[in-house]
Amino acid sequence: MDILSQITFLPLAAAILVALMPSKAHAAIRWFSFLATALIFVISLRLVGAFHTMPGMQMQVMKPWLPSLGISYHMGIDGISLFLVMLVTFLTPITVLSCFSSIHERVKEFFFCMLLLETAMIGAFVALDLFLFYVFWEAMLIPMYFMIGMWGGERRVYATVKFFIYTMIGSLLMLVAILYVVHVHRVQTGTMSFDLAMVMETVLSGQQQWLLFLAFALAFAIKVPMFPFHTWLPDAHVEAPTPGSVILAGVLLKMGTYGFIRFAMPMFPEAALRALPLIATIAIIGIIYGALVAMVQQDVKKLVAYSSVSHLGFVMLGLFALNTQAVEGAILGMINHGISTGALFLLVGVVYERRHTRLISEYGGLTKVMPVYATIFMIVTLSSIGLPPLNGFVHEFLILVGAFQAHVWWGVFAASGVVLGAIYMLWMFQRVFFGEVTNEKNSKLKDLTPREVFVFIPLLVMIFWMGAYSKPFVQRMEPSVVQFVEQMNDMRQAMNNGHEHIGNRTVSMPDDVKTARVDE
Amino acid sequence: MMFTPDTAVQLMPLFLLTAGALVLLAWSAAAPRMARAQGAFAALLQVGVLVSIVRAWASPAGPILGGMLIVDHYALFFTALCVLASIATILVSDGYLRRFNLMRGEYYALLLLSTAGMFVVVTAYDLMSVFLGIELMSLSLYVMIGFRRRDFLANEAAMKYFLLGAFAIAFFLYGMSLIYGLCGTLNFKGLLVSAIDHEYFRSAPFLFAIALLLVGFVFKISAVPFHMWVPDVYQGAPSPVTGFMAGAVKAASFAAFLRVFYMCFFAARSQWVGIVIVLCILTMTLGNIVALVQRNLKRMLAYSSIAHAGYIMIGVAALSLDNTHAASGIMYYLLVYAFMTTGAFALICALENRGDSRGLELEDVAGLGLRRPLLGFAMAVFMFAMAGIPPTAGFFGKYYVFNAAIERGLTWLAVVGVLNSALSLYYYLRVVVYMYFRQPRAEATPVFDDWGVRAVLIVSVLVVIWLGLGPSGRVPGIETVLSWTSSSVERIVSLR
Repeated sequence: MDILSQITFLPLAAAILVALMPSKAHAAIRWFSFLATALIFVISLRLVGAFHTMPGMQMQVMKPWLPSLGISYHMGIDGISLFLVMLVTFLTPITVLSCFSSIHERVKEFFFCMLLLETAMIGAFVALDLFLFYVFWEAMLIPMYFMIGMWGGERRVYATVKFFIYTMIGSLLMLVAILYVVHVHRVQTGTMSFDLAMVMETVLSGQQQWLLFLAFALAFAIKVPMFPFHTWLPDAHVEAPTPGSVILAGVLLKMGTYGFIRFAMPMFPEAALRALPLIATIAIIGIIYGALVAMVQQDVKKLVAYSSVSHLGFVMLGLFALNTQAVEGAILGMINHGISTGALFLLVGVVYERRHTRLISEYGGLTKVMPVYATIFMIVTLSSIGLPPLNGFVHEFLILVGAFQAHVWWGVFAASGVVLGAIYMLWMFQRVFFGEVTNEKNSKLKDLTPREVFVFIPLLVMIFWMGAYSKPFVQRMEPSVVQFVEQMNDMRQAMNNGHEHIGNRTVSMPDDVKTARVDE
Repeated sequence: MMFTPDTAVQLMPLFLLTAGALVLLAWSAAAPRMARAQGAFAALLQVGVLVSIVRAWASPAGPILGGMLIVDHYALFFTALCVLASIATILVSDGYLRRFNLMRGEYYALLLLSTAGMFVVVTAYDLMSVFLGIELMSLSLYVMIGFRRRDFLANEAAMKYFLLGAFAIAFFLYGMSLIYGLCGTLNFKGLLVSAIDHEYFRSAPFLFAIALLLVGFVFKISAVPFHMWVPDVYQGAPSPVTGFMAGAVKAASFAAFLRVFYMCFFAARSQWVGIVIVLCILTMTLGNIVALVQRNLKRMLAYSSIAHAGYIMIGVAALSLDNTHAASGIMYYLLVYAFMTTGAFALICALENRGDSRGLELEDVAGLGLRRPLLGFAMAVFMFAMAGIPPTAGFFGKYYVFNAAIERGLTWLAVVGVLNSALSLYYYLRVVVYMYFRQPRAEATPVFDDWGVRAVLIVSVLVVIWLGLGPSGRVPGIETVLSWTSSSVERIVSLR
C-alpha cells in the first residue's frame, strides 16, 4: 500500500480496533489510541523524507474507484498540503494524550470518533479528485458532530446542530458547483472526470466562473470562518470539549483556507481575481472585528475562538495578496495557528478541568500557584501575538510584507490587527495570572502533572523551531507557492490586457509539469 | 395468444405469489393457530420468487399475454426490490404481530397478494394492467393498514386511504377512458405509435387525460397535492406495514409512473414537465418544512417520505432520451430509499411497546444510542443516509439524481433540491440528538429486537453503506447496480 493511503486509512483501522475493544477497558483504549496516532505520526515523517522540493504533486496514487462515473481514488501532496497533513498527524496524538483525564464517560466512543476524524481530515488534505474530496470533507462533520454533542458543555446540542447545518449548506452548494463544472467538462471533452487536474482545463465563461467560484467560496468561507459566516464558531468552541476545540481550531478551520488555495482559486482564477477586493475587505474586517470582539470576552475559550477569526482573516488576506511572501506567510500561518491555538485551547482545558470554569474573572494570580503552567501559557501567548523569535512572528511578518506590497491600506489595517491582538491576549494574561490570588478556590490549584507537561513539550518545540528557523518549512513549500502565484498573476495580466473572458488556462497544471512517483 | 415456455418462466414470480397467497388463505382458515408457520412459508416462498426473478432475467423480454405485460429487466429490478421489502416485512412482522396479539395467517396472504399486485404494476405494458395492478396492490393494503381493527387511528387510516385511494384511482380510470377515446388503444406500444401523430398531443382532451393520470400517480407516490393521507396512514398502520408502504408501494408506483411517462408520453414532455417541476418543488418543500415540527417518529418519517418523493421527481423532470442518467438515478434512489426506510421502520417496530397506533415519540428514543449502541448506530446510519450525507447510499442517490438535473440544464432545480436537503438535516439530526445527546427516561423501555429485526437491520445497514462507496468487484458495488439500471432503461428506450 502506498504511503498516502497508509496514513489516511491507518486511523480508520485503529478506530475499528477500538470499536472492538471492551468498553470498560478505559486505560487500554486510551493507550492504544495514543500509541496508534503516535505511530501514524512517525509514519508520516516518511512523507517529509520522501518529499522533493519542487512544484507539482508528488507521491501520487491513482486507482479507479467508480471508473464509469469518472470518479477515481486520486491522492497526492505538494508543498502546500504536506505540512497540513503533518499538522494533523502531529496534533492528533497530542490531543489524544491531553484528554486522558478529561474524558471519563464513553471513552471508547470518544476515541473512535477521534480516529475517524483523523482519517477524514488527512483524506481531505490529500484528495485530488473532487468527488473523493467531497466525501472526506463531509465525513469530517459526523465525528465532530458527535464530539461536540456528546462530550460538550451545556448548550452543546444547539452548538453542534448549528455547526453541522451551517457547514452543510455551504458544502451542498459546492456539490452542485462540482457537478456543474464536471458536466461542462464532459460536454467539452466527452469524458466524465472528477479529477482536479482534468476539471481545471474546462473552459468556462466569465459568468459561469463567477457563480461556481461563489459556490465554492461560500463553502470554504463558512469553514474558515470568514467574517459574516463566523457565528457558528464561538458557539462550537465554547461548547466543545477541549480535544474537540483543539482539532476544530487546529485543523478543521484550515480546511477552508486550504480549499481556497487548492480548489476555489486555481479552478476559477478569473472569478477569484474579480472577487479579490471583496474577499480582501472582508478578511480585513474579520481581522479587526475578531480582535475587537475577543477583547471584551469574559470567557477565555470564547476569547481564543474570536482570536481565531482574526488570525484566519490574516491567512485569507495573505492568500489573496497573491505574492510569494504573503502566500507563504498564509500557509505558515495555518500551521502556526494550528500549533499556537491548539496549545491555547489545551491550556484553557487544563484549568477548566481543575476549576470547571473559564471565566477570566474567576482567576487571577495563577503565576504564584502554577508557575510551570504560567510559563507555558506565557510562551504560547507570545507566540500567538507574533513576538519574535516565536513562530507567530514569521508568518505575520511575511503576510504584512506581502499585504503592503499588494496594497498599502491592506498592510495598514492588517497591522492594526496585530496591535489589537497583542492587547487582548496580554490583557487576558494579566488578569488571569498576575496580581494576588483573589479567589480562595485558586490558592490550592495543582500545577501541571508530568503527563500534561509532556503534552506541551512538542508544541513548545515547534513554537521555537518554526520561529527561529523556519527555512526547512518555507523551502519545501516555496516551489508550489511560486507556481500558484505565477499562475494567478499570469491570469491577472491576461485580464488586464483586455481578454475579459479567457477560459483557457495560460499556465499548464502542476501535475503535467512534473510528476514524481516516489512510492510505487 | 402464445403461451411459450419463456412466458412461463417470465410469469413464474406472479404465479408463485398468487398461488402462495391462495394456499395461505386456505391454510389460515383451516389452521388459524399456525400463523407463525404460515409466515415462514410466505418468506420462503418469496425466496423462491427471487430465484425465479433471476431465471426470468435471462429470458428474452418482449410484451407477453397479448401485450398486457412485459417482463423486462426494468420490471424485474423493481419486482426484486418489492419482494425484498416484502421479505423484510415478514421478518419484522413476526415479533411485532405476536407482541400486539395481531398474529393471523391472512396477514401474510394479503402481503403476498399485495406483492403480486406490485408485480403487475411494474410489468404493466398497458394502462389497463396498471390499473389492475394498482387495485390488487392497494386492496390488500387497505386491510393490512386496518389490521389493528379495534384501534381508532388504525380505522381512520384504513378508511382514509381507501376512500381517497378510490377517488384517485377513479380519476386515473377517467383519464384512461379519455386516452382510449383519443388513441383507440391503451397499449403502451400503441400509444407510442399514435404519439408519432403529434396532433393528439396538443389537444385539450389529451392534456386533460394526462393530468388525470398524473392525479392517480401523484397520489400513489405520495406527492403534493395528494399527500394528505400519508401522515395519518403511516401513523395508523401497523409499523411493519408502514415500512412496506414507504419502501415497496412507492417504488412500484414510481416504476409505473416512470414507464408511462418515459415511454408513452415522452413526446409530450414539454406539456407535462412544467407540472412535474412545480409539484416536485412543492413536494420537497412541504415535506421538509412540515417534518421539521413533527415529534412523532412515524409522522416525521411520513413527511420525510413525501420529501423523498419530491427529490425523485427531480429525476422525472430531468428525463431525457439522450442519456439514461435520470431514469437510472430514479431506480437507484428508489432502491436505496427502500433499504433506508425499511431499516428505519424495522427499528421503530422493535421499539414500539404500546398496543395502540400512536407510535413512537422522539422522547421514546432518548438515550437509545447509549443504551443499545448497535441499534443506535443503525438508526444513525439511516438518518444520515436519508439526509444524504456521504459516505452513505443516500448521498449517492441524491448525487445521481441532481447530476441528471444539471445535465438536463435544470441546475436551478438541483439547487432547490440541495437547499431542501439542508433543511431536512435538522429533523434527521434531531433523531440522532435524542438518541445520543439525551439521557434515557427514568424507566428504561424494553427493546424487542428479535432475530428477524436484527437480520433486517444488519442487511439494511450494510447495503446503505456499501451502495454509498463500494467499488465494483466480486461483490456488486455502485457501478454494478448502475449498470443494471441503465441497461434496463436502455431497453425501454429501445422499444420506442
